[in-house]
Amino acid sequence: MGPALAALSPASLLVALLMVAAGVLLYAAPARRYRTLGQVGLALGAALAAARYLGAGAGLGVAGVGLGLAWLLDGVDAPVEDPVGLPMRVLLASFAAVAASALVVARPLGAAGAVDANMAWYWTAGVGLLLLLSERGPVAPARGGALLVGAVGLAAAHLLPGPPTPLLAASAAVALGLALAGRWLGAGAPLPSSRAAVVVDAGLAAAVVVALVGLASGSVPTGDGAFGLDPSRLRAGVAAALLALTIALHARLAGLTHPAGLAWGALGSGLVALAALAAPEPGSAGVIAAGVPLTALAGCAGRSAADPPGRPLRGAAEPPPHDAAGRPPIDVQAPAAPLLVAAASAVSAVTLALVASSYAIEPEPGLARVGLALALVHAGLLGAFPPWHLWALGLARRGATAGLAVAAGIGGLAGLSLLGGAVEAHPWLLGVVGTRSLALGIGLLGLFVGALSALAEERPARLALQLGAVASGVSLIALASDPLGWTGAAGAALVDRAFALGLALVGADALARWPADRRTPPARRLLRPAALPLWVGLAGLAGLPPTGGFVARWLELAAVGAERPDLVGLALLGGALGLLGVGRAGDWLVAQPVEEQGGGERPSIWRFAAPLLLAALYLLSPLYPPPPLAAAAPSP
Amino acid sequence: MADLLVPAGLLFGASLAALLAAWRRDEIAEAVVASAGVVALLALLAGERADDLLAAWIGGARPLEVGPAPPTPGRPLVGLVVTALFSASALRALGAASPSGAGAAATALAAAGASAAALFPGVGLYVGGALAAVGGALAAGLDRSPAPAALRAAGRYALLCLTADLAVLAAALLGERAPLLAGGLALAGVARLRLVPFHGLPELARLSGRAYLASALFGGLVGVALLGRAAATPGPRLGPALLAVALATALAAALALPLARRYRVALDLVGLVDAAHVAAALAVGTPLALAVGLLYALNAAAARALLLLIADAASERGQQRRRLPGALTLLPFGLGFGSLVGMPPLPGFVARWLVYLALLEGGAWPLVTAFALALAAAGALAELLQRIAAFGPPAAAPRRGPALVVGLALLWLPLGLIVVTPAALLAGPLAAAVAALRPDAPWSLGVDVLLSVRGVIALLLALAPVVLGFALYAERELGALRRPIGLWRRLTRGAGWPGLGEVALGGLPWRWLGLFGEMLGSVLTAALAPWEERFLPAGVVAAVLVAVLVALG
Repeated sequence: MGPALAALSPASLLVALLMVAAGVLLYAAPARRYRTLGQVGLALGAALAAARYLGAGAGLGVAGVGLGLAWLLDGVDAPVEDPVGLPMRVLLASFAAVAASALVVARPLGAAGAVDANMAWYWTAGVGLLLLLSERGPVAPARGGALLVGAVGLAAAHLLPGPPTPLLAASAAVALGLALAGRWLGAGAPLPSSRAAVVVDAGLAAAVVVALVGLASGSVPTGDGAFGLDPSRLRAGVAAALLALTIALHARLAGLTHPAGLAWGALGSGLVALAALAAPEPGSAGVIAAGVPLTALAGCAGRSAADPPGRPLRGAAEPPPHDAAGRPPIDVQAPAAPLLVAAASAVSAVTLALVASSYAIEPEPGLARVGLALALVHAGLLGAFPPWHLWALGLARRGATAGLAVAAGIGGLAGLSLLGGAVEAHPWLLGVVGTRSLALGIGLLGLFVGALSALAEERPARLALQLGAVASGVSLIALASDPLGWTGAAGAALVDRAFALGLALVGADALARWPADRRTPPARRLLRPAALPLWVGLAGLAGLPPTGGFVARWLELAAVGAERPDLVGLALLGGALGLLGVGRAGDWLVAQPVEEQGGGERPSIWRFAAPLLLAALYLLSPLYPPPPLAAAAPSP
Repeated sequence: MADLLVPAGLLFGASLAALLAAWRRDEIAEAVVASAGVVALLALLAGERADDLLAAWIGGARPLEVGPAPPTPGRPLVGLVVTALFSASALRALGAASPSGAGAAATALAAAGASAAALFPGVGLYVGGALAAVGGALAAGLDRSPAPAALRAAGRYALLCLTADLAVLAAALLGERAPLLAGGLALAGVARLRLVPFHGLPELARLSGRAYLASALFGGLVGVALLGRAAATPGPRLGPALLAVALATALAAALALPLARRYRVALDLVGLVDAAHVAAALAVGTPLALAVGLLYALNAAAARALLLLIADAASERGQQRRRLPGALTLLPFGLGFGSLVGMPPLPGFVARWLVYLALLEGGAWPLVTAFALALAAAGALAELLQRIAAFGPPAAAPRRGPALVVGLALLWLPLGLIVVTPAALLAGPLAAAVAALRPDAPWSLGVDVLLSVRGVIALLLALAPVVLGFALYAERELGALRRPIGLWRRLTRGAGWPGLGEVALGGLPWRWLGLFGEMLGSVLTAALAPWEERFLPAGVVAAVLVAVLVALG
C-alpha cells in the first residue's frame, strides 16, 4: 500500500464510496428515477469533497451547479431501446471505477489523502465519458459533456492556485449550458417566432455592437491589467461580430419560418466570441469560446422546415422526411455534434489552463506537449479544421447550413482567438518539440484530403467546408514553416478563412432558400446573381483575387517560400485542386436554365440583402480596412 | 496616401456605377459604367503611384517581381487598347443591342483586369490576370440567354486560366531562378491563349460576342502579356518548345476548321491560327520578333472584336447567320474581316508580313514554322469565306446601322488607317515596350530590312494565304490541295470514323485529369462518410493521435 491509502480517512472513504455508488447507478440504470438519483448522489459527493478542502462556499457552489444539472436533465431522456444492456453497463462501470481508483491511488493530485477529491474528478469524468461513448441521441452528449466539463472544472478548482478564477465560472456555465441544450432538445426545441423575438434580436444586436465598441475603444481590461487588446485578436472579434449581425439579419430577411432560433444563436455566439476575446486568461477564454457551438444549436438543431438542406450541385435533392403532422422532425443526431464539440473543446481548454498554470515558467515536457495538443484540438474542433471538420461535414449533409455558419464561422474565430491568446500568454507552447512536424502533417492532410474531396463534392455547404480545410491546411503549413508567423501571415489568414467560410455558408443557405421550386422566370433569372455571395465566399477560401483570401494566401506562401521553398509547390498543387472544385459550383448554376421571357412572381431581392452585404464587407475590407483592422494589417 | 485618393475614389465610383448598372439595367447606367471605368483606368495609368495603390491593397507587403517592369512610356499601350475595346463594346451596346448593365459591369471588370495584367509587374500581373478570368466568366454567366454548354465552357476556360496562373505565382515564389520564372509565365500564357495542349473548348463560340470578348479575347491578351515576358526573361530559351507548340496549334486548328459548321466556331478557330502566329513570333525572342508579335496580337484582337460585336448586332445570341442590312455596315465588317485574314494593305497584312520576316530571321526551324503558319492561314481564310458566303439575306428591318458604325468607330478607324496604325504603334509604344523587355538588344526596322531578300520572301509568304485562301474557296486549279481536305471531311463525317471529328474539335483530353481527380475525391468521400456519421470515435481517434504525435516529439 502506498502513502495515499495510509492517510485515508473514514470520511474520505465514505464520500468516495457514495460517488462510486451514485455513478454506477447513474450509468447502469437508464430509467429516469435511477438516473436522476445517481446524478444527485454524484453532485452531493462532489459538493462534500469541495466543501472539505475548499470551504463551505465552494461546496455550496458545486452543490448548486450539480443540482441544477440534475434538474435540467431530469426526465428528458427519450425512452430509447438500450443497445448496451444492464450486464454490459455494470461491467463498463466497474472498469471505469477500477480505472478511476487506480488513478486516485497512483497519482493523487493535491493533498495526499484527498481520495474523495481525486475521486470526484476522475470518476465523474469517467462516467461522463461512458455516457458519451455508449449512448446516442441529443441528451447523451449533453449529460456526458456536462459531467466531463464539471469534472475538469472541479479539478481546476482544487489544483489551481489562488482564489477561484473566471475559469471556474465559465466551466460551470458551459456545463449548465450543455444541460440546458439537452433539455431544450429533448423537449423538441420549440423555437419562438413573434414580435417580441424581434425586440430580443434588437437587444442582442445592440449588445454585440456595444461590446465590440467597448473592445475597440480599449475599455476592457486584459489579463496583465493593461487596457486595450492586441489588434490581431481584435480583428477576429470584429469579424465575429460582423458575421453575427449579418447572420441575424439574414434570419429575418430570408424567409425562415422560425427565424428567432437562428438569429438568437448568431447574436449569442457573437457575444460569446467577444466575451472570450475579453477574457483575462486563455483558459477561461477557451471555456467561454466553447459556448459558441452551444448557442449555434439554435440554428443547427432548429426545425428542419426552417432550415432546408441545400440543393446538391448535381442530381436531385432528397426530400426531408416529415412526421405525421406534416412537419419535418428534428434530426436527433445532428445536435449531438455541436454538443460534443462544446464539451471536448471546453475540457481541452481547462486542461490547457491547468497545465499552463502549474508549469508557467519551466514546463515539464510531457505535460507541455499534452497542453499544446489540447490547444490544437480545441482550436481544431471549434474552427472545423481537418480532421475535426468531419463533424461539420456531417451536419452539412443534413442541411443545417445557416447554423453551421454560426458554429464554424464564429466558432472558428473564437477558437482562433483562444489559441492566439494561449500562444501569447505561454510562448513555450511554440517551442515544444514536434510542433512543426505536427502542424505540417495536419496541414498537408487537410490540404489534400480537402482538395480531393472538393472535386467530388455535390453540396455547396460541404464544398465550402472542404475548401476551408484546404485554406486551413495552407495556414498550418505556413505555421510549420515559421511558428512566429502566427502574428503575421498565418493568424490573419486564419481569421480571413473563418470569415470567408461564414460568408460562403450564409450564401449557400440563401441560395437553398431561393424559391426556385416555383420555377417562375424571374426567380430563375435571378438565380445566378443570387449565387454571388456563395461565389465570393468560395473565391476567398480558394485564395482568388480580389478577395482578402488571396492576400492571405499570398502572404502565407511568401512566408513559406522564405523558409521552406519545397513546400510552396505542394501548397500550390493543393490550391489548384481546390480551385477545380470551385468550378463545380459554376457547373451547377449553369445547369439551371434561365428563361428570357415570361411572367410569374418576382421574389423579393431583400432575401439576399444580408449575404450581399456580407460579401461587400468581405470584398472591401482588404482594400479599405476600418481602423481596427488597419491596425492589425500584416507588416511587410 | 493623398495622391491615392483620386484613383481610389474613381475606382469606388466605377464600382458604384456597376452596382447601379446591375440595378437599373438601362442605357444610362451602362454609359455610367463605361465612362467611370475608362476614367478610373486612365487615372490609374496616368498616375505614378499605381504600384503603391496595389501595395496598399495587399497590405504593404513587398511586391513580387515577375518579369521585367516596362518603363512608364510603354505602359499605357496595351491597357489603352484594351480600354478602347471595352469602351467600344459599351458604346456599341448603346447603339445596337439590348443593354445589360450587369454584363457591362462584368466586362468592365475583365477589361480592367486585363489592363492591369498588361501594365503592372509583379503581383499586379497575377491579380490582373485572375480578375480578367473572373470578369470573363461573370460576363458570360450574367449574359441574357447563353447556351448552357457555352456557359460551361466559359467556366472551364476561366478555371483553366486561374489554375494555370498559379504557375506564375509558383515561379515567382520559388526564387529568382530564371528557368522556373520563364517556365511559369509561359505555361500560364499557353493556357490562356488556348495553345496545344489546352486547345479545344469550341463551345466558347456559342457565347454572345460581348461575353466572348470578355472571356476568351481578354484572356488571350493576358496570355500574350505573359508569353512576352516569358520570352524576354533571360536564361535558357523557351524558343524551341514554344515553336513546337505554335506548330501543333496551327495543325490542330487546320484539322478542326473544315469541321466547323458555324461561322462563329470558324471565327474562334481562326483565333487559334492567330495565337500560333503570336506564339511563334514570341518564341523567336528577338526584339523585332517581340515587337511584331505584340503588333499581330493587337491587330487580331481588334479585328476579332469588331467581327464579334457586329455578329452581336445581327442576332441576340451573337450567332450571325444573316448579312447586315445596308451598305454602311459593310465598312466595319470589311475592315475587320480584311484585317483579320491579312488582306493587303490593311494592318493585319502588315503584321503578318513582319511576323514572317521575324521568323525568317530566326533560323531554319522558324522558316518551316512560317510556311506551316501561312498554309494554316490560307485554309482558315477559305473556311471563313465559306461560312460567310452561307449567310442568309438580311432581315427586313435595318437594325440601327448608323449607330452601329458610329459605336464601333474606335475599332474600325485604326484598322482603316492601313499602314499608318502599324507604323505608329511600332515607332511609339511598341518600341518603348520592347526596349523595356529587352534593354540590352537594340533593334531597327527600316526599308533596307523590309526590302531585303528575307523581307521579300516574307512579303510573298504573307500574300500567299490570301491568294491560296481565295483560290481554295473558289475551288479552282488547286485540286491537289483540296483533296486532303475533302478526304478529311469524309473521314470525320457520315460513315467516317466515329468520334474523330469530336476529337479534332474538342482538343486533347486534358480535362480527363479533372475527371480522374473527381473519381479520387469520390472514393475519398465515400471512405470518410461513415466517420462523418460517427464523429465521436473519429474525433477521439484524432485527438489521441495528436497527443501521441506531440508526445513522441
